[in-house]
Amino acid sequence: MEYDYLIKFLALGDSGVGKTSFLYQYTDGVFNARFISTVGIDFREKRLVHQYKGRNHRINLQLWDTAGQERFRSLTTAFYRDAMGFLLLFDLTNEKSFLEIRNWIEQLRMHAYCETPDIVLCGNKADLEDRRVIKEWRAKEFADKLGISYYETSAATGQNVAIVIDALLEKVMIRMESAVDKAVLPGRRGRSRDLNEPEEYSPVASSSCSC
Amino acid sequence: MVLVESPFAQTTRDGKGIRQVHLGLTPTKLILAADVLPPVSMLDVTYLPGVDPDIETFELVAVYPIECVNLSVFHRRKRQTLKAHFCTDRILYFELGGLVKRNMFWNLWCERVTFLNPEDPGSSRSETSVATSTSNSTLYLLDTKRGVNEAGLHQLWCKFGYGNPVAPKWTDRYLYMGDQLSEPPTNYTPHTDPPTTSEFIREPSQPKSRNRRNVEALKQLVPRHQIGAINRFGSGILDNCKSGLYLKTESSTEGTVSTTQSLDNETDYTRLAENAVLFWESSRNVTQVNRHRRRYGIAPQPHFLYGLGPWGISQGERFSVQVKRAVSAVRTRRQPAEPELRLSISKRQLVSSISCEALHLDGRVAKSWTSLKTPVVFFWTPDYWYRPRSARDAYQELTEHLRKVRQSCQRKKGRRRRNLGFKKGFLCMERRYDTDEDTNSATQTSSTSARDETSVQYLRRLLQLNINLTSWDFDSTTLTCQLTIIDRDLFLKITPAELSVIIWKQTSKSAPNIGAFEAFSHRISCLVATEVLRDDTEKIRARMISRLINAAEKCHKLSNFQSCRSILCGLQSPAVYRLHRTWGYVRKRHSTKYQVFECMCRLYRDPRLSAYQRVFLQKSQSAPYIPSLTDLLLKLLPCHSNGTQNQAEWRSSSTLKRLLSALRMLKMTSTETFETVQSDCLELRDGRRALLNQSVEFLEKSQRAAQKYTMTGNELAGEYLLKARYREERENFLHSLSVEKSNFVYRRTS
Repeated sequence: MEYDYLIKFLALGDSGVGKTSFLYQYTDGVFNARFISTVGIDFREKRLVHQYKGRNHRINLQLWDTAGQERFRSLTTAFYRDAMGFLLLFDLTNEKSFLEIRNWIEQLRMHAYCETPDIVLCGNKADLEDRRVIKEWRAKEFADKLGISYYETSAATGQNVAIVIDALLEKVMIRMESAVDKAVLPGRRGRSRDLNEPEEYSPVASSSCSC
Repeated sequence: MVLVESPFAQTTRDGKGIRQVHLGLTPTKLILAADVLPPVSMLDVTYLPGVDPDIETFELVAVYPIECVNLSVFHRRKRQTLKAHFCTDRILYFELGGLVKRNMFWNLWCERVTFLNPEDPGSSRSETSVATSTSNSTLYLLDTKRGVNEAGLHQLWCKFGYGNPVAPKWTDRYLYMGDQLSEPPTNYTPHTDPPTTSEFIREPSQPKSRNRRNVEALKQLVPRHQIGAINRFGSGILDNCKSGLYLKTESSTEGTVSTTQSLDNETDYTRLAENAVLFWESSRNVTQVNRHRRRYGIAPQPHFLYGLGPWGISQGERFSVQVKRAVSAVRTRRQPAEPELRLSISKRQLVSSISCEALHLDGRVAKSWTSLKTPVVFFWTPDYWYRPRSARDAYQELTEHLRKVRQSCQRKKGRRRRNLGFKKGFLCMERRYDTDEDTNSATQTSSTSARDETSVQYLRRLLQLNINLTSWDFDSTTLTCQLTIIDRDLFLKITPAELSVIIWKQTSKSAPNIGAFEAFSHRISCLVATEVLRDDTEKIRARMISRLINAAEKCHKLSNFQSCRSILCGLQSPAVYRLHRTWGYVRKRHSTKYQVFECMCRLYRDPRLSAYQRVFLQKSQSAPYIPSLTDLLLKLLPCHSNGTQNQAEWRSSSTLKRLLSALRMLKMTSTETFETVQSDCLELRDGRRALLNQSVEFLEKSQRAAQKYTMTGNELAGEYLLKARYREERENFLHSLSVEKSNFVYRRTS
């Protein structure tokens, strides 16, 4: 019940790339091949112990599963600014979902808490090797250009699923560490904060996000 | 007490997401809550004792009394959306979210919304057009007035009322012209913009955007002025040819030009071919619009019963139908259409006389022949083809016929002898002979027809329809009760002997009571189809269908499997099945009924399936029930997996016997014992006796259960069910073609 940190992640990507399956595989270790499109936002939780700098942290992970459909776009963007890390998924067997990644990142920059939020790019459905359209080097090159890390995952086999979450967690922890003193996000609870100072946010945020 | 709660996405009417909410329903309140998340910069990540992180940001937004909101299921049911119509005339739409067991929760919500509705939406007439149930109250704010009274106190007068407020209806949902629109426009001059001729001239319709790229490619490649249509088959293929080999064209005004003329170099040719193939494939995808397939919705010959029905088919075909899983075409033997070729007395009657049948009856079976004495149920069929006759009448008919045959034979013989004697008077004799024969046959036909007339007349008198009744005159409960009573009477008349007749003769022709049961079922299904096809508008037809589905459902609830199946067969008959638009209407507007129908169709597809057996077993635990005839008869089908095993057993035992007799170790090798052994083995091989015993047991048990139906019938409904005129399957189908035009209109390409 007790935990040290409450961390919120958001999964993004086109409809049908496997966001729900990915999170389901992570939280429950189950895969269901049937396609049930998510409506609005689905919240799911996982508690874990994460080792960071030699210390154990009890973490309550809130994973928000969003609807990829266009009609829920305005609903889901409202949640962007509240998440600390983003899982950006595309389908390795679907070229369009890969091309859309650029738009997703643009959307994120617009709505998230800062210009360069912590993102992990996942090429999902890696188990469908014979139907693959996106070559690994192509996705990797793309990710490097944007300065985000890239993993090939499979919700069906569970390949890299936990690794991706851990990597994202690591990034968020680093950012939190650096943000503790600078009074930028994500801050610790109980810290006194001056709400009337709007200037505080943007300049420091841009400096802290250079990592 | 919370009845149900789930996450929802609030959407617009078009389904665009607005916000994420959580809805809860109690018997008196509708509760709306949402996650109100602080921006991440103000967010705290550490543990706060006493607060569950799950609901830390979860806040109550509103609690509405249920009297102020009219909760219903949005008519686009695939979207699983609830529509909340508040008394302030605000409408919100909530689409069910969540992932785990979403369908279960959806059903739960639908159920709870129904639960809040005090009146039972049982009959389809009371059902609203969107086929939903709504919660109870609707207090609408009709009017508000603000005023100041004498004391100088400001007051707000609200006028509440029931029913829909007289709100102006907008045809265009994006255009709102203020709430004063209902006032008559006084000084309003409409701005008119007369159309120009160019507006009437439309560009030829473009293909779907998916093809556009390919079409562009084609356009670039092929000079427009030279080629209008690319047609690999000249003009020999229909325009809507299903194989997809026909290429759609932009405009075919220029006519067909052979492709070879326009192409100069070879590279263009290959590229053109590739593009053409691409275009063809994409156009094929376009033509496959996602149609709703209703394979479960058709039952072409429900009373064929694997050859056990009243049709005569050859022995081999019957065997293959019963054994094979995939059924091929069979030829049914019919009587010739021409009346002069028909036998005056049926072949069956000639072949099996009553005494002969009685000889072969078992002692045990023969006893129960006479155990039941209830009056015969007469009902109307076209041309009165269902004409129950007593055994004595049939026997008399037969003897009379035989007597006539004998007489005519004798007369013929005698005449022939006389002909030999009087060769001179051959001509006149012949004439006399002719006339004689004529009169003879005339008397014969007149006599038979007279007898037929009498029985037909009797039936006609009995089944005269005094009042013109339609099924609109009765509600589904009345119909169900009356149908159950009739089916019960018919079912109780079935004797075990008839089962044995069927199992040996493999047709229900010689089993009169089973035949009557079948004929009545056929009558009901045809009647159902006729009733559906009676109305011209699809709305009324859909309403009829939903009412009949209702009746079938009620039969099912009464554990009356037979009547339920009869009604379903009517709804699944080809004539009704092909009314695609009507079914679409039912699916949309009466969708709860449609779901029930679909479910029952799948259930009643084959009574040997485990789903049916499970339901039947469940229902047969409590007393009154009627099994469906199909279930009863299909129990008589030989079980072939067992058969082969038994055959192997038999073979081994006989070889052993042969071996023993050859070794002279088996002493009693007299012929009779061998005969009995053989016959026993034969029976064992078929397993027919065991089957018969089982099904007789089943029959007796269910007859005992069916006797317990006690319900009061409606005389008029009974009259309607027994006497109402209907059309046979074929006529129904032809009528259905005129009611709803076929989509497949073949045109010749010019």
